[in-house]
Amino acid sequence: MHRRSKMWIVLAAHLTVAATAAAVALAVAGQSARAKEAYAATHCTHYTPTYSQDYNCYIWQNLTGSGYHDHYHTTGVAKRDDNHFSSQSSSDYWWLGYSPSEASFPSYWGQGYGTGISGTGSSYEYAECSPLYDVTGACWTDWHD
Amino acid sequence: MVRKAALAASLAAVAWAVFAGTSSALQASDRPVIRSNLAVAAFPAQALPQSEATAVNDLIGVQLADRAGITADSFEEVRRIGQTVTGPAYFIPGSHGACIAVVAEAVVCGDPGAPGIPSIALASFDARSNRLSGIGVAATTVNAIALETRAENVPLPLANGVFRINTSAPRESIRGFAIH
Repeated sequence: MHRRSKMWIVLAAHLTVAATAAAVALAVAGQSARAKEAYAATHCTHYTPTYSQDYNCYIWQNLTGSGYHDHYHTTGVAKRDDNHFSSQSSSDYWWLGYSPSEASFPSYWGQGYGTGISGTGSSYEYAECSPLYDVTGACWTDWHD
Repeated sequence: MVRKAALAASLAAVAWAVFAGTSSALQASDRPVIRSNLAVAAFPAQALPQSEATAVNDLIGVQLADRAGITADSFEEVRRIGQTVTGPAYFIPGSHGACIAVVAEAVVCGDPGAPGIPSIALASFDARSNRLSGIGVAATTVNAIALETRAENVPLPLANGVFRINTSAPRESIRGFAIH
């Protein structure tokens, strides 16, 4: 093969790789930008079943099921921005809510692999989460000082 | 010379095909779609106002949005599926899942219509009256759906792939759905 032919092949191969890399990079950048636009919170607290603040908030663990209120809940009150449940299965049932005291939790109930409920405004409240059956999942709340 | 030009043109075409194909595939995978076995696909599509879309998107969050494939395009193709006690409920399609949202209140996401997943639902519970009120979406394979409690199965009205929940039951007695 002539030397110039090889040069063309190398050039074209480089163009192919560059074009592919550019396409992937643009797509990833777009996803990342959307993700950043979608979410902003000061703190997060993971409270099922282990407790962690501002790290591992979305990590799935084995949760035991219970329809009873305050099955899993935060150890303290805060001004909640939102409260979330996420699980492996799309057929899971759960309760999710808040309470100014640990005794009474108003709630949302539903079926799906994830949910989020809006916050408590300026009110300091506990956050609660109760899957009805044993699941692999997580509950966390976003809050601010 | 002709062979060189042909080779160069061929390789350029391959490069363009790879670029266009990759871009197209990535864009296509982002487009919201509603499974053909969900009757809500026939509901009129509408765009959520920007402020409402932002509020719902914040509630969905990054994790759920990625999982269901919810993007900005999703909020241009929402379906209003009914009124709940806490506000109108919307079906928001993703590229590989969907959410039900009551603006500024709550969202639930899943993959209704996928194998083994006949429904998703969202309901608020008033602890003072023990009343559970909400809405859900079911696949066309669902003929009847009931709320299963410890005491009984409460049939839920189902029309056009949307079912309503409005029943009084102690919280601890609620188990899930019985689907036929």
